[in-house]
Amino acid sequence: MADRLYQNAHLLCPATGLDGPGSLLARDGKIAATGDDIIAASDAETIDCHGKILCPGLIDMQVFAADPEAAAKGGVTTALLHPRRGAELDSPSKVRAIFAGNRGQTARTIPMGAATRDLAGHEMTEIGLMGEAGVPAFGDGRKTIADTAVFMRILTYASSFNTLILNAAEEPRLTEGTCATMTDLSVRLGLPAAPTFAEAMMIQRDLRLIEATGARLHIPIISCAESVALIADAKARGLTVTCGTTPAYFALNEIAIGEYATFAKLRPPLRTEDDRMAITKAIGDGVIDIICSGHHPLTEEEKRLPYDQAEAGMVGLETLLALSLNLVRDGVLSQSALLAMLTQKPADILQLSTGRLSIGAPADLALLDVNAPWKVSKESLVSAAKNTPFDGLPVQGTATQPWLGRWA
Amino acid sequence: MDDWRYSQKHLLGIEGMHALDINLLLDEAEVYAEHNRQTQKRKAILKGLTQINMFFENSTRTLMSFDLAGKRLGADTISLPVSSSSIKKGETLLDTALTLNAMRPDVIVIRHGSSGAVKLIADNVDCAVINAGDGRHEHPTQALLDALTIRHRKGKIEGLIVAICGDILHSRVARSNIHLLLTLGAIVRLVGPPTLLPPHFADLGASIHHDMESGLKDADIVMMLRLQQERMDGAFLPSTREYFRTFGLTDDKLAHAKPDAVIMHPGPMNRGVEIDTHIADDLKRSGIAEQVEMGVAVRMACLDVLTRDLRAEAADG
Repeated sequence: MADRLYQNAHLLCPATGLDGPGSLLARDGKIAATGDDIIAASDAETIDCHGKILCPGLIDMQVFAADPEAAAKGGVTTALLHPRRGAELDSPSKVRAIFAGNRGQTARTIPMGAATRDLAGHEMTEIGLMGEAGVPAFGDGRKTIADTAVFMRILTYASSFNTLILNAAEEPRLTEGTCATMTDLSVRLGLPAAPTFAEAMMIQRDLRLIEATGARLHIPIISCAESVALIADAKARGLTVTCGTTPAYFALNEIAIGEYATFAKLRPPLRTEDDRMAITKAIGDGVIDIICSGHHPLTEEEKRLPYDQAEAGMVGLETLLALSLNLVRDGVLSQSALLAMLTQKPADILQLSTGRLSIGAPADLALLDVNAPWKVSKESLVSAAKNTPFDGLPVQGTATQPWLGRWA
Repeated sequence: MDDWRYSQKHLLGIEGMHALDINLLLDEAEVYAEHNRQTQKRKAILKGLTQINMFFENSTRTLMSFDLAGKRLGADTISLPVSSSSIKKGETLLDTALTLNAMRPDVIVIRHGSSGAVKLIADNVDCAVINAGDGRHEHPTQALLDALTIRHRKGKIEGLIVAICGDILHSRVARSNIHLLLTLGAIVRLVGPPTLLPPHFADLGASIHHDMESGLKDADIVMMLRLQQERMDGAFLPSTREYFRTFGLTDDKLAHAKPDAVIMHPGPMNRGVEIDTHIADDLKRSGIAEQVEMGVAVRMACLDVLTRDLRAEAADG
């Protein structure tokens, strides 16, 4: 691979502190130099960035389908694919197939290994062997590992590899058969609902377990004030926990369900306005570490059903950046702090060498136009699925197709 | 306001309905109630119109009531009990709606087990849709027939104390009645065990009672709800006999209500579970038979009012 010189860029990298005009040289898929006076080979490909932001490609810690086209449109170079029913990712061969599928794609999909076989929540998977194959994290996707003894053993075992474990925060015995948050709204709509504390209860249990085992835990999505308080307290006590959320939980509340809008049916379900504000504040305060998309493409057939029968989930890769940038405009956090939540922090949590513009790091790069206006719509989304609750919303912030560097 | 015209295309729920719309339907139903007591009950105002009754949940009385209402108005009625038809197999609800629409009905009556399912169909067909019960959400014609019964017995609704007792959480009848009674100015009390009556119902504007004594005190109307079999046996309640002891309507509990309180029940009753059998049969105090009678009148009024614009257009040629 020849040299590629990015000129006339605004380099922005929270990990290295770069934030200003400059150029970047990529050589053999790695970042070779950053600065003002870079000497490239005479046959180097040069890219004029026109003063736009050149930053590390975004890292999305939760998708439920490999959708590289949508990822590329959203500036995402690396997406963590969670296991789910039908794609359990519970053996070394299955995770290798995901890595192999990255060849020639516009964005990289990294498998998260299942923590239990068939996602059944009983028997541990080959965490060590899948780790050798390159899997950076384990968990059962949206399915909570509910058996406390099983989960404690997984954490204990994983701690010897310093492996990251994820567990969806919901007490399944409270959420089973429900599709909404227990509030006056769900009562009026007549929707089976679970209390918000079903989320907090599971976090509470898992925090106690990592306190006992010393394992590293990442909670993929928190969505309510009570969870924020628990995580803040755990971090203050020095526990090895991180957490994320998706734009839905800082941009929407349960009102988005309106009259049974199944495109707003998510898991966890949308919460109250108080919870939405608490999530927003927790992003500003640093209690929430990362923002992920929760990208879950679903067909019309899976969504255009009575509310309790429709699938939960939304596409999010293409709206992750623009919706998150609203937080900067609203003064919740700085542009650099936001970008850290989308690049450096997920890389650190997953222990990846990407997510930074440092010399020798993979040249995974995104070029952002943070002010470019566009409208979320079926027409503007490239993902095959269009299940977004943000249909019709005017937003700002686009990425040009990112560049993928070399990891090995 | 005699010249008030019904302001909506469908009847999907009571929530958000204007008091004028509710009163219009009740006034029209009043006329049909009178009419139904004549020997010659048949009218021809819906002649040539097609009414499809689509019930995705088992029901006899509501289905019969709608069918009878349509026939008395001269409509061609077709009832499709979905549980025994081929439509259920593999076809999505949306496809069913499109199929129905292609049959060019003039009014569709739907019952479905999922909250919001009737609205999903209404959004995808051209004709008027009447909700005959969707999940736990609403059962608007039941609330209307209850209101008509109350009006008959008490001459008014405003200012009355109405106690709704039993499984509130899972009840679409309760939800529709709460909205309707509050809109027309009644005082609504909800009575039930906490497992079947979460505190969020207070946000609807009703008061919450977990004992019959405080809930029934000075009540003008005591509305009992049916307790579904699957809620008993330890899931939400320890046993039917314990439920009957604490929340079943008996003489001693009823003594807390006004002496002339009217007892109502949407049916079918579980005698000895939510209501003592001799109270149910006490014709002086029970409005239960009248509720069934008013049901047909209310449904005739709904079918009439919802097809008025359509019939006016047809008359204009």
